[in-house]
Amino acid sequence: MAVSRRSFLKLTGVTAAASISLPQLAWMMSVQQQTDFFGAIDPVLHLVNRLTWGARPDEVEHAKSLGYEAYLEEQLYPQSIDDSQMDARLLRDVPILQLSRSQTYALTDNSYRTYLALTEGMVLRAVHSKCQLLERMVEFWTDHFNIPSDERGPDLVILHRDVLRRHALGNFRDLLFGTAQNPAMLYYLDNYLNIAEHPNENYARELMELHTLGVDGGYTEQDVREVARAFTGWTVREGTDTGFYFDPNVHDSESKTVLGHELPAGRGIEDGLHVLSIVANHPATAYYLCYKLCRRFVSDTPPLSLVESAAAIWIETHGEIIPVLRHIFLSEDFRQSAGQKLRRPLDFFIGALRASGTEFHDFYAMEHVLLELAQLPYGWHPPDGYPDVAAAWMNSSALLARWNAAMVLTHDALSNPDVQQYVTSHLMERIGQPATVGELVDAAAWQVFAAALPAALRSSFVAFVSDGEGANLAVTPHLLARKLGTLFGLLLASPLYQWR
Amino acid sequence: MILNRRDFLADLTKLGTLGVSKALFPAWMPRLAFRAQSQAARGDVLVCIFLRGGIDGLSAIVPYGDGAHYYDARPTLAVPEPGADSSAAVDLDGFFGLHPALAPLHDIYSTGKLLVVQATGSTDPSRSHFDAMQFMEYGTPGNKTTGTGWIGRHLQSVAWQNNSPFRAIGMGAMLPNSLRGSISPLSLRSIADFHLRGREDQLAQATDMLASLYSIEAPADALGTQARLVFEAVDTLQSLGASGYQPANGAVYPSDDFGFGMGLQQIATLIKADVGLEVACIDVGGWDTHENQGTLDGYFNNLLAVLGRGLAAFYADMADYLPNITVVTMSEFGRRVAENASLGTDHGHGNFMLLMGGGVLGGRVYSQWPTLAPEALNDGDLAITTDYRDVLAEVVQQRLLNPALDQVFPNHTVTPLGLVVPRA
Repeated sequence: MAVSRRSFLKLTGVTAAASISLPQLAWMMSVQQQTDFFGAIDPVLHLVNRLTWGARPDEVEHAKSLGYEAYLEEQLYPQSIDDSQMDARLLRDVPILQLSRSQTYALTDNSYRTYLALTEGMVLRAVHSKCQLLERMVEFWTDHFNIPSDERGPDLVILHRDVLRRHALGNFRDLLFGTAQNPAMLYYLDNYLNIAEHPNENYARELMELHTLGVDGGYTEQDVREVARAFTGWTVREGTDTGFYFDPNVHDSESKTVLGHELPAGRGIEDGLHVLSIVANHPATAYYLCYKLCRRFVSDTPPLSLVESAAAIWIETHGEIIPVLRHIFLSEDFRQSAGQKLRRPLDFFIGALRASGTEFHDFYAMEHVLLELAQLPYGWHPPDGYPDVAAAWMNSSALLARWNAAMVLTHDALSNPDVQQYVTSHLMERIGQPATVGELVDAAAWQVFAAALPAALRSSFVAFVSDGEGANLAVTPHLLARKLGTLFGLLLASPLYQWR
Repeated sequence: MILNRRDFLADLTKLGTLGVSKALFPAWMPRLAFRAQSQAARGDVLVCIFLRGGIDGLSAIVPYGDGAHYYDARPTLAVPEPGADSSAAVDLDGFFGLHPALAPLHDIYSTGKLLVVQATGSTDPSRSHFDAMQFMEYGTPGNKTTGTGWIGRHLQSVAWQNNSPFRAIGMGAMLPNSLRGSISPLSLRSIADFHLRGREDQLAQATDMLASLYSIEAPADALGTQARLVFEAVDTLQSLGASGYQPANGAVYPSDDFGFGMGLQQIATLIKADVGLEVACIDVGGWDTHENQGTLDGYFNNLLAVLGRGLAAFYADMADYLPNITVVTMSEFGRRVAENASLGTDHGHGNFMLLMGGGVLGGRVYSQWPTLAPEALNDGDLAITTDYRDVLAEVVQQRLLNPALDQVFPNHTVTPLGLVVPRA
């Protein structure tokens, strides 16, 4: 297979544009600017940055009108939010997500069509739903109970709707029991093959390592074997309502010892249910899940005191998720953490869509950009879910992919009809009627950051847009045609936007 | 939404990209001179292949000489002993044989440039993929707070420095933990796609803006460092020439879903272009075969063929460069000796490694074979009799010319094994 360099060959004619040197670029200390920006950030904006898929100005305005705590409460109880427009759109665009299991399996090409529906539905909801914290928690549980979308799509639709989404802000126990009995999970981690004669340890191990206790949660290899025995007979059988079936004929009904608990001989499905209860109620699970929540919402290295205080609430409420989230978002550690999380590629992508109003008309165009960014929804194959820390995403390919995605998402109809058929942005509608370049830069930055740019950054963008002529240069249709897409693209590609 | 893959990809290329004659660096910024000093001053180029998921080493390097211990434990999955038929192992040394899908490697083995190490691995007992990979890549079994990888520490401690952005590369969208350290590795998916897109008449200025926004002249944080790497790498890759790469000696890289063949070819491209590459890491995933393994005629067989054909193509393509190249393979753990009821294998312990290159004392299987007798197993799994760090330490010291083994593999007393010729 030859490495194609066609794209290089095309380029030789591109050099005509005169490169103006940006006016005596006093090197901006980007890090200092970020520190200043996030150090002075409005607490409500910080909350919206973390709790949503991108702080759109209207969302921030809404949050500010409610106030920090009331906005948090609104998002913690999404049933109080009128999201009927979203629901109508989902019904229209991705009706597959509403079908029953048997209806979904009855579709021709069901695996492919559920993949499309899951992916498109995920993006639609993240961009447009008013229940933003719910969507972020669905994302969290999707990572936590990761199953790639090439495993039994129809069952994944059910898992995501009836387990991960339904209980995203509910009780952990329901998530655990629901995933354990879903055919996609039974297949993905091989428990459908787990029989007394030859136990398969895959689910048993990941249940403790990834879903509950954490790898340092104090279980042994012997516990893995015993848990595998407890789940023998948990399998999939068509013709049942949910696809889940307990087969007593292949269950190991001898006694077992799991994490110090005796499981008496002679039982059936109760063995597995008992194990789920043991691990759901285990203090290591409380700690591990709270650690992951703090890492997701506060910082890559969350203060252990916060993790411990959150875990205490988890234990006290038996795994209720809302009180734990409330504790985290109201904590001083959270308030002090602005700017400490790198946007993951999907954060970046969804945030860019929210900021620019960009919409894809073509699934594969969207898929292509997500693949380049290396975070296709439901595209992570190992069971540990997409990584949650900056170090995993901080590399040269990833950064270049962000720059290019920013340019593709904003370089649209204004100038390029070839790309317009796949993707349209709505930049003009976002900026109002700016009279000068200064106003234009401010308006664009407002859409991206919901805040004013640091002064040095602003003058740099002004210099770019005005070709060095300054903030008072009049905005003309010609200038907008040349500069608007790249202005938005550069704001999204800037280091400041990579953090939140 | 409509579905229209091909056209979008075609039209996407109509977005402007920077031309061959156009440097990504702003005109006023001094260009960087990073072409490395001559290869002679340095050690080998290391190509490190990680087989993620835990490859079934008992199917890849078949211990047919262990007889019933092997064949009784694998009633349906065992590879027949040499001579049986075309599905049989290809003999190596009268005890071990290559899986037939690795047959393309037999010639390399015969010429002494391929060495097999069997019953090796990371001594930590973890059967967790994630822990075992991390331990192996950090080079510190049992310690997960190390934070840096064995290759990262090698690059940091070796006698020479080399400011090429291509000094250490990871093929793929994410960098492996082994490269973590104070040297910034480059992640690279595709040479052809490694360029900046945008509106043509704004691209030069947009590039200037990015250079400025990320302070690439004096990067002040990790993102800035990555941005600078992007600029340097784009600059070099554009100068690599516009003609399609032609592998030497009729080598044909496999075209596979994991991008392994493509990745190896890009590594070959960079080695031949002499851009200062010292270490390249590449993965082949998908080895976690708990069910329907397909050892001889299914999934495993096909995946193993990708590995074998890829290595053979790289060997042929790089014939002229071989004295300066060492390739190693590793996997986080092997698989359980006894097959499971799902026609697959569960997580195990000991496994094999391959060493390929001009300086390898190959043509043999290095193994203190512990046997597969039930009493010799480690929790049901192949025991480890050769610490993988001893294998790598030898490569680091003798081929990469780095004597600082205490830094590359801290808290480990290295046992010399005599696997490679000291580099002249």
